[in-house]
Amino acid sequence: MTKYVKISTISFSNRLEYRSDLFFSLFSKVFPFIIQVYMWKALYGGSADGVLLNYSYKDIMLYTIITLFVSALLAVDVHYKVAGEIKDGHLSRFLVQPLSHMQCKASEYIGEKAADFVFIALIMSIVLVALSAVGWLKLSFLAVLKFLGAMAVGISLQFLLFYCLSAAAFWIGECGGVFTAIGVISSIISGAVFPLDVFGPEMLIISRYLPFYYIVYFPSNVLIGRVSAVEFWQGLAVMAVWFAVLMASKHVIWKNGMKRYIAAGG
Amino acid sequence: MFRREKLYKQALKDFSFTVSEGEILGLIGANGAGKTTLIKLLSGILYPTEGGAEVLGFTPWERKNAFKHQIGVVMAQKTQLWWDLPAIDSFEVNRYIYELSDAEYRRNLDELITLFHVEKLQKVQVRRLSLGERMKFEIIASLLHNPKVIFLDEPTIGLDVVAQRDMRRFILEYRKNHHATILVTSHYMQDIDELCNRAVVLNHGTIVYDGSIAAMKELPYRTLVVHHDEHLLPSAIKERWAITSLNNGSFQMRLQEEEIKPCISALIDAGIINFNFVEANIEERVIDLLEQGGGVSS
Repeated sequence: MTKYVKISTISFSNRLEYRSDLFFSLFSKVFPFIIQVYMWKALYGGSADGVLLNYSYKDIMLYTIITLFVSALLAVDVHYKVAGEIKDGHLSRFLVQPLSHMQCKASEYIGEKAADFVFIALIMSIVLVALSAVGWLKLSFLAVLKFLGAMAVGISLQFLLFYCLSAAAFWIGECGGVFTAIGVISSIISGAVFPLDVFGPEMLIISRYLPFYYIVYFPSNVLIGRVSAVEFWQGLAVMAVWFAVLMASKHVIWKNGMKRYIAAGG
Repeated sequence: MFRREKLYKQALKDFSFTVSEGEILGLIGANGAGKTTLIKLLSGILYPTEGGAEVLGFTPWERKNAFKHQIGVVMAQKTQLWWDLPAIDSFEVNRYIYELSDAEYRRNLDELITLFHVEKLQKVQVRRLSLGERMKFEIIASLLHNPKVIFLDEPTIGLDVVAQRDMRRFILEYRKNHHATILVTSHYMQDIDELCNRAVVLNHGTIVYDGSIAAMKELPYRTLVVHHDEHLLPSAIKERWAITSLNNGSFQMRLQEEEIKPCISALIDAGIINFNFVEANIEERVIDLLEQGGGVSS
């Protein structure tokens, strides 16, 4: 067992210390969903042909349900954690140990999320089976496999993006406000609130070149079946490019940030 | 209001010192004198703006893994233990981080646990431990990999007298067994006195003393404590020797060797017989050094 596997398993036990918190944090995601359902109901009630932005009411409900799970799987708090470490000097303890800080945080993330993943995946499977039983969704083994692949890369991108962002604490100290703003923007432009089609065809094309597109919108549509085989592989290629770009940025940002680190506190 | 003025403070200014293998060096200084900054530089946490340092043949801030395997750092105010889990879980993590073999880990852990007598506490959640108990586990976690150089930043801060004594005993015993080089900072002079062979006193980022603890106690004067109300003292004595009042109704005088005899005769003549010399302690010397701010080296 390597050090990073050990960190993951210990993070998993640590997370289980707070089982009720885990439950409530997942439960809290239901409320925005209810708001969305009512919003779409109102919007579709006013449309004559029952189709908005190429989405029927059924399509939009399906998208909203799927993205609810996708965003729950993607929830990441690494930026809050790491910015706190930078600000209060806790980062020091990682610097004196033979560890890569990013790999350590990634391992913690995997360990902590594992408990959430199992729980979310369980409910999601039940919902998916129900959706396919009523004929809303055509589930195929291949679609699920592609979805899992896209999710795995999407989660890595999301983690890396927010790990890079956490370095803002080297320059601005307290990041709470910035993170909240970026969190809202990122959830909108990743398609977690409504399909990116809302912004019009031009914006949809531009967003294809941004990483956010691949975090929620892309994997959700892979599962729904709106992504062709060619688009799927193109999407994975763009994700790979973004992964490389973010890794390189992380290197530069952290190298410069570390020189500003003051290791606050005694 | 919106533009912040930048304030630069030079934390450490031109100085150099060397620590030999197996030495316990005490770093002393007022709050903000640069002790912790020095430890952070030497353990590789901070980059210096200028200057160099070599620890075990490495430049600390290059943060080579080979270097990190050989150092142990305890920062009293920064926990490295997993807060919600028992300490033993944190030790397990460190075992993997430092890639210790089973036998090595068992041996080191048993030794450290026995030295600190904390067998029963290792399975208690860290957040339920008292500060003194937690500090013991912090130290154990930092020493599991048997480091050659150990940085202890205020290991006794906030501990009660018994825990302080236990900590000192532990450090001495550990050094005896492992021959590690230890850099320790403390505001308690008893720690420095009992633990260290040598002390470096820092003041405003420079060294004002670097020498043996024994030499620190060799003061050019002796301190006489007189148990008598200073207001009732004959003015002849008051005018001739400077006195410092103590809050228990007595006062003290610092006397050069040649002043001792005349001063004592004067006191006896005045009918004062209740006095004694106190043994020189390093606390007094440190206060002198920090207040003078002058450079002394021996």
